Amino acid sequence: MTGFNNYMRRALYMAAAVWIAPATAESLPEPVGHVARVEGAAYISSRGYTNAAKVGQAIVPGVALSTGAEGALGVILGDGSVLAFGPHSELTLDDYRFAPASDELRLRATLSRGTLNLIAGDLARLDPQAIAVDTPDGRIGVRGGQVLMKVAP
Amino acid sequence: MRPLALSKTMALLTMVLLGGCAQHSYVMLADDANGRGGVVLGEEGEHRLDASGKGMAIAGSGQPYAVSEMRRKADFDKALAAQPALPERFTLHLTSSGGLDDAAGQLLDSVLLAARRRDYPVVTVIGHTDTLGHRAANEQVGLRRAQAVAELLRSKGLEAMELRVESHGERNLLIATPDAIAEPRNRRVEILVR
Repeated sequence: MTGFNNYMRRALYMAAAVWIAPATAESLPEPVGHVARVEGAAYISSRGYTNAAKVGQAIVPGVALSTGAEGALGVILGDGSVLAFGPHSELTLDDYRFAPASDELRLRATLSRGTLNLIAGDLARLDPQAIAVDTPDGRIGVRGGQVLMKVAP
Repeated sequence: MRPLALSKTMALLTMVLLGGCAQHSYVMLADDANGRGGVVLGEEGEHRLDASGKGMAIAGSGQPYAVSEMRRKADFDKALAAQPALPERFTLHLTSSGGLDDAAGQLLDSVLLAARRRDYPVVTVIGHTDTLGHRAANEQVGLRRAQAVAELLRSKGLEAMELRVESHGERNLLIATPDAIAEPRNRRVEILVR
């Protein structure tokens, strides 16, 4: 009986060890913001799946945000930065870290089309080089304030 | 014949001008946040915008120009209208003994109200310290301060989609100081409602 129990315990530990590692690696990253406003056609794509955006929905690094013809979308990130999009827009949040205690401050995004209204939050106050948006025409560094950008089709 | 040709030319010119503007990708600074805001473009960040209302082609070869109200409306009306309610910040200052001052109760009530005004409120409580003491220890002190305030908010009945508790330790100063400086104004707990 004891031998069987030991065997079972060892087997369970091994199963746990094998099972936990990939589960951790594939678990969703920590949310870094959320959707605060949606009008009309607005979408969030993550890991190849595209869904209609909903108010309250979590934003994680790597997601793509997009709007259709009459769509509008507003997002608030952890440092208080705001991203608001007009119609026919698409942006990928390539990287986002707001962790002043470990000196990690960055927002990297790619605006491939449309219009973005960006209001810089604490990230820019703590590091004026923290926020950058790439576009097909080049990189825009946002040092603070409210910035409007348009990527023509 | 001539007036017609002229008006045709004018119409064509207008189309070219507007069309030309509408076609190019550009960035503008809508609000310079009292001189703290700005935009940099170019490989070396050699092109800059630092005045509200000024714009520049993203390709960065041109000079900054004033963006007309009409242009701004045509391009950004929808993106401006899509802006959600802006985050609200509240700062609790700590007394010399590390406790909360008399104004704290009222401030926490305003936090609860701000959260109630939003459909899906996310509340972040962030603890801060001054630069006195070790950096790692200060991160722990900041976290304890934030946890205490988060507990108070919970006990007051805060309803939020998410309540986050964080510490920036000594790395997010309200008043800039060198290391190892006691500065009471930097000992604080900040609450962000978004």
